[in-house]
Amino acid sequence: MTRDWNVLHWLPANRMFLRVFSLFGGLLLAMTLIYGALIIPLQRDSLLKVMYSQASTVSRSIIQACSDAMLTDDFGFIVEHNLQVLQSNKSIESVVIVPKRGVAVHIVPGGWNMQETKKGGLPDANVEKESYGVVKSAGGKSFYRYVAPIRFSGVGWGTIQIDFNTNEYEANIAEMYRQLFYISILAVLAILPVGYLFTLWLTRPIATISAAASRVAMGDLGAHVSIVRKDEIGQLSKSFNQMVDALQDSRNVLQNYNLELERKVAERTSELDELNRTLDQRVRDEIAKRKEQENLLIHQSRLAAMGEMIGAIAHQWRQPLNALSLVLQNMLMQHRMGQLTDESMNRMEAKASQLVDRMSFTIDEFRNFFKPGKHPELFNLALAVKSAADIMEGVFKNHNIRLEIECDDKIELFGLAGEFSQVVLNLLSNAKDAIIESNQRGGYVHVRARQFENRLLVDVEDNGGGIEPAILNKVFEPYFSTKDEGKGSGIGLYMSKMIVENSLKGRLEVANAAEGARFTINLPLAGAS
Amino acid sequence: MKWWLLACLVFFLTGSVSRAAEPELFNMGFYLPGVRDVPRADVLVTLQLWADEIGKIYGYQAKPLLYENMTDLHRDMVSGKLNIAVAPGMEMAETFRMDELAEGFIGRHNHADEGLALVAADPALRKFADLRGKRVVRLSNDRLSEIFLEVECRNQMGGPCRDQFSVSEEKRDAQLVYKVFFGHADAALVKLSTLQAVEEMNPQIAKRLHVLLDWKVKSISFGMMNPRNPPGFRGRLLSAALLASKQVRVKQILEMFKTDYMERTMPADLEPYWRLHDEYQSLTNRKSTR
Repeated sequence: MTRDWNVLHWLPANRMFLRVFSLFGGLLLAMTLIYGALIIPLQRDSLLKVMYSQASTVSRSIIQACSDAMLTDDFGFIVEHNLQVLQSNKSIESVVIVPKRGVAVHIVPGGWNMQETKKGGLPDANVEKESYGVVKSAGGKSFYRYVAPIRFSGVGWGTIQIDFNTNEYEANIAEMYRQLFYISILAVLAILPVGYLFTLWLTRPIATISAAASRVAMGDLGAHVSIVRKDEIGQLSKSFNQMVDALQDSRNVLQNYNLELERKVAERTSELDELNRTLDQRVRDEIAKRKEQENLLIHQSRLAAMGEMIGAIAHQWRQPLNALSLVLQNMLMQHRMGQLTDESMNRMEAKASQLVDRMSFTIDEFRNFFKPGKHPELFNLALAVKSAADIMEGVFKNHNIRLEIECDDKIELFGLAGEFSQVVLNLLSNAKDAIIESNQRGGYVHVRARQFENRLLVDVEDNGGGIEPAILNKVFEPYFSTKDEGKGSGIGLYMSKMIVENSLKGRLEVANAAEGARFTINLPLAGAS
Repeated sequence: MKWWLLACLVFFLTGSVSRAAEPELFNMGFYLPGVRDVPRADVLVTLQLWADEIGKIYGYQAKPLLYENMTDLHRDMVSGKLNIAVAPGMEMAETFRMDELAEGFIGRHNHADEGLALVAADPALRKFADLRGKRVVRLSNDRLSEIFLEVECRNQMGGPCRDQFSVSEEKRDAQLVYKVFFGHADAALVKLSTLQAVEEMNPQIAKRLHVLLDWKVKSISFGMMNPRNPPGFRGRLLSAALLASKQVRVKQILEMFKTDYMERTMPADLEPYWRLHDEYQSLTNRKSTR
């Protein structure tokens, strides 16, 4: 039996584990090192304070014990006392007592000697303040040196210098570093199993859920996780299972829906097949229906035009009918008075015939206007406009509307003259209605034909107030009318647009001018001569 | 070597005899006034601690007994109450006769002499007689110094010291040397071991001071057994003491007292003291106790 000792195989193969493990371990190690970096200087200061306290105490103790001896220059006592001090305090390296007068005494453990105060290496006998700190000897050895003045009743006697070995201090520092090292080692040792278990505890369920999620993403809705924990991960696991169940339910619903959909698609397909099979017939029916509707529209349009025509005929006939009535009354009066002579009879008959002929001409004229042309031909633009204007002349006069026509009588168009005139008539009639509705006094309609680049533009402009901008693009829609109920059919402008676009291959445009609306019949000049 | 430290050493070393359980209660008499630089209470506490320590090691009870005067010590020794008496050699010589003492122990240094030395700093002082009118300092409560100086004065100057120079006393040995070194005295009578020790501590002292007179003995202090002790006990005690310095525990104790080894001593080693005492007696016309 062989065993795989590859450590990597023991690690969960996911990045999250490695990241969390690294983060956990790094954080713990960093915290340990930071703690050490912060605490060691503090401990060092603390140790130095302890050493200062010790040095200060020893110094005061020596000065106090040797005060009499110092004052009496009993250096024997000073030496012996300090030897005892050094014997009982192994941390003291040396004591140097430098009097202002006389020689200095340098005492070390187990020995002492006298030194000239002027000799180098001794503290100044006249120091005023204490000083202390870690210094290094010429041999490189560190020790803590404390120097303080010796005063009695405020009078300086000399200086005491005490050198302490830093063995304990350095041992403590070394111990702190050693402990930090051990703690770091312990931290590392703790990181490995604890971090491994902690990270495993943290990431394994997530990895399990992730793997299950991947299975779900692959379509396996039977993937469930069995993590029982009373924390967020446990809740996540529970929610995941619920979500998978919900997905399964949704999938079932979708499958049923798909089945239903497929059934309906099949049904519709069958219907479409049936529809395709009868589509030609339906198209033909629709076209016929459309044609019928268009014919209806045309018929309605013609009826409307007829109405206009009848109104115009009534205007045209009003004067000759009055005249004819006068002729007949005159004839009757002359007959009753016995004055009806042949001559007067002939004259009145001629007059009556003239009036009847004129009325008949009017009828013919109107009938010709509305007679639909069957074949396009050259027609004079000015005459076509005039024929429409003539029809509306009576109505315009009746409403005191001035009609101005600017039209070159040499321009000829190729097309159906009657339909063009019908468009002009519609535009004039609309202009008249707008002027009347706006109660515009001094109304006018200005018809002007002009050439612009390769186009012929026929403007019909009024001063009827114009069209609301919001409905400007709707005026050509069938059955759209702003006129009062019963006054407009809503098909005049629609038919005009159809005629211009279909028969004359042009465009019918509308815009608001300074005082009213301006309709422009835009025709290709190629058709003009 | 300080006499009371010798006592402690003897006290400790004799512990090895206890295995014979003969005698079970081991009494040691110490002459206390010889203790100058250590509080007496400390001495007693130290001895008792050692006694306990010894008791743990050897399984018997050791009892230290302190004496304020040599008369009482002599009485208890002669009566057999004490098994060992520890005291300075001079006091021992003044109190005991030779037949009242058996063999005993002394602590020895490898490179130190025992005895007295008269030192001076002034090069003009070349002999004892030059001290006339000078300032001389000696150890206080030290019978040996007192007798030695007095004998020399009477022999070399023809009269008591008080008529020849001023004598002052110091409690501690080293201070005697320092007094001369720093010029507070013209001469000092010091123990040889102390002089060598302070010279070792400061070689400047050896250069500055010179010895006018010295007097060498085997030891300043003695721990002598009671001749009434059974010979077997004394033999075991002697063997143990001679082998003691090889034991680690004993070596530690010896090092503590700056004593290199223990040495057997005989009552005859006190002879210089008895002679000095006799001379002093004759010079001062007093009768010897010997």
